[in-house]
Amino acid sequence: MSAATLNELARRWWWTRLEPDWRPRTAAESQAILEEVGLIGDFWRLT
Amino acid sequence: MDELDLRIRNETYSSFVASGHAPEPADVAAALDLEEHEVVEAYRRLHDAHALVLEPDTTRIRMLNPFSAVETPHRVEARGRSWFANCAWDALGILGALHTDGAIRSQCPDCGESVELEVGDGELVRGAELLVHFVVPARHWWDDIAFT
Repeated sequence: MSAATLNELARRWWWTRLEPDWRPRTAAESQAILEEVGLIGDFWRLT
Repeated sequence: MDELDLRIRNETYSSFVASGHAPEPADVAAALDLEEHEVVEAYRRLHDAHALVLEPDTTRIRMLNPFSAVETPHRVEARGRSWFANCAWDALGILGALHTDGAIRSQCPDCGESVELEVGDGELVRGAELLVHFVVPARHWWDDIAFT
């Protein structure tokens, strides 16, 4: 993927990481982030 | 991950960002009015839950993703401070987690070539044309997160 796409992924993936009330995402929520930036297909399946 | 583990995890991250280094379990225990063994036990549970990464067979923190607690070739500069990341994704993720722009100096793990990226207003303003190769399929990322 392009670094530009990776940047978009990284911002969506890590944006809430330091929030004081952080809680873990579900696998479905994480999968949705991958799909939002166009990462679909078996290689990108988390489960 | 219960509420105690979340409190310990969140305090550990907060301490890391404030100081720039991983806290000792005793420091986190003191901050949260807990016993040190409670933090140590929580660290092992958090490691198993992939909420942080410990060095093998220890309770020393190696990763507080996207931050690396140890020196790596992936350096992030932001807000007058520097951080180590575990990879390109984490390097950009550090800027995302800090909600800030900054610069990344890294090294291609394949050819060793120096790589520089810069984020401005949330967008890549330097290095956007570079390509990133993912070797490990997503379902196997945590088989060996250090390799991934």
